[in-house]
Amino acid sequence: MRIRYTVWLSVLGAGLLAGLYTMVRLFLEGHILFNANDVIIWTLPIGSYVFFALTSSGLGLLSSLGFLFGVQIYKRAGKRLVLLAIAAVLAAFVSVGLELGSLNHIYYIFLSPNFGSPIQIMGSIYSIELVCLLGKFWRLHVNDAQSGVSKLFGIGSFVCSIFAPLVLGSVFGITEARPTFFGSFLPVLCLVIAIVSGVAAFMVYTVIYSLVVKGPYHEANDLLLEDLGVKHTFTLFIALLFYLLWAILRSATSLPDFATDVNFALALFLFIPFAMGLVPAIRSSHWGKLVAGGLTLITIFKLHMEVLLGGQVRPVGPKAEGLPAVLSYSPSIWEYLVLVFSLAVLLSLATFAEKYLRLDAEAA
Amino acid sequence: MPRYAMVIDLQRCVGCGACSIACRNENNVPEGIYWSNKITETVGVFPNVRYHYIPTLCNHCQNAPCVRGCPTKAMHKLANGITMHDPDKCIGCKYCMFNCPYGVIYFNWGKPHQFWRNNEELIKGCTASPVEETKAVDGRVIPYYNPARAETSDGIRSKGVVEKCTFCDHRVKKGELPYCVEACPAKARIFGDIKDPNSAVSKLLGKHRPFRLREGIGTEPHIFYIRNFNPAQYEATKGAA
Repeated sequence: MRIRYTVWLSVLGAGLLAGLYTMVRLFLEGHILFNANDVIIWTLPIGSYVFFALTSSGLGLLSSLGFLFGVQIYKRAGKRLVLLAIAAVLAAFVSVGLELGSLNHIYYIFLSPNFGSPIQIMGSIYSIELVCLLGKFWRLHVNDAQSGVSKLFGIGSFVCSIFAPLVLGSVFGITEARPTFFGSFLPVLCLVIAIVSGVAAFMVYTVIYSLVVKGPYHEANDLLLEDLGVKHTFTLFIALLFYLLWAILRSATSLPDFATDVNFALALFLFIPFAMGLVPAIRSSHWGKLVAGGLTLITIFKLHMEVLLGGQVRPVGPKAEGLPAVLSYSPSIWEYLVLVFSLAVLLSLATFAEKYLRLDAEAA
Repeated sequence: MPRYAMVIDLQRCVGCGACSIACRNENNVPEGIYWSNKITETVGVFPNVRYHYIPTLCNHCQNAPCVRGCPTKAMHKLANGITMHDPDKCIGCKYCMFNCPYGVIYFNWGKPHQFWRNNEELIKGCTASPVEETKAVDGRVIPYYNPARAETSDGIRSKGVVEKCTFCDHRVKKGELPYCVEACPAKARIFGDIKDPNSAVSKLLGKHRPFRLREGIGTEPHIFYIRNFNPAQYEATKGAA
């Protein structure tokens, strides 16, 4: 056990070091290290940001079930859910921070804010969400979920968890230059995806935790895992429907050739975990949950990348000169390292919190 | 306060690219970045083919999506209608590039003017290095550095920020024409105050039916294109069913 833990810490340490090295190289050399260009502007780090940010919102919403609405099985998991939501939003900030060209000018977000900008609104909401989540965690840590302050943090976090994905979707959705993003529907799709990501991430985390850390918690968690399995299957079905609806609406209202680019492979990979969840024997098994949840998370990450790149692969205006009608993209090693860094931050925080912050304690 | 606009006469434009070269020199524009650019298009099937050439630059839109989306107001409108960029406020999020329907905003992915930052001699013991060449003429980073550009913005923008055409705001401020207009040998670019009915741009827009790029999306671009060079003759016909 001790050796496994040391190996785990070493892996996390390597991830963090690789990430810090990437950060230094990016500050010194700039984003020329990325496989981005003036046509495909936002790449893997933004996909990573969207994934972690939406997952954080989903985890935040899930934590509200116990903290705000008193659902018993989620009350017990509340502290862990809030901690994971905090870790996920910090991972998202790492991704987006390393994507910004001039992070040293970031204070202008506060000194010269443009409240009409979706990016400004999204940044503000995610910052408020982080504060609310920290507040929630503090209240849970002092064993108080009922006081006025706790309720305030709870309501704040709940509202932010709903609005943040909607605004994140509008960052893409309201761009005049990108007809493929199909504006009015993308925020709704983002909210649905956030819920699925949160449920899938927590289900996978809980299964791994139960398998790795044997103890009383493992026995008591069966009810929670069973509920997560059902919620995962249910929300995944809604996400699948919304993805297909978004693709149909987009192709029906955009240029005709976009009708041909609905990714049925992706829809299939959303359908497989859904189908797994329909079989009670698979749904109730740890490995079934792990595979279904893992597949969901990977497919959702792919979906984010598809949505992100789908709006950019066709060059606009004079940038199309001398280029093919549709460009292709594959990430550079530095972009992968940004993703690794974000993941390492998330998992390090979770590991640290599991060891020192009594995540199993249930607030009164 | 004037509202500046530009008319580009496509009949006069010969596609020489002098506007792009002039812009590059005036604004110290780095390699790979084009404040002044073009859209070319070949239509038809041989022998009935035709080549179209449309010079492009920032459209200085009235409803500029880049300005609306910028989280720090780095991209902003001046009172005279110019869409201006403040590199000091730019966080490099690139949302303006994402938002611009015209593809005229560029990002400094690395340090600009890489060639001129090279300390190595091209031929050892024989030629100077690019850095030495720049120093020899008291240039800043590049030997052809124009210090006038720094009067209203960074002379050379740093890595990690975007840049685009500013209608040569530093020249306009002094009552001079944008340098692409000045340099055009065919007088195909006409610059002026669109609010003044007696300005050259207003008169031209009253005389010719203009078009603007992607007018349908409501950005109100302020680059107007008039006329079209077409020497083709054809025999009068009603076609056939």
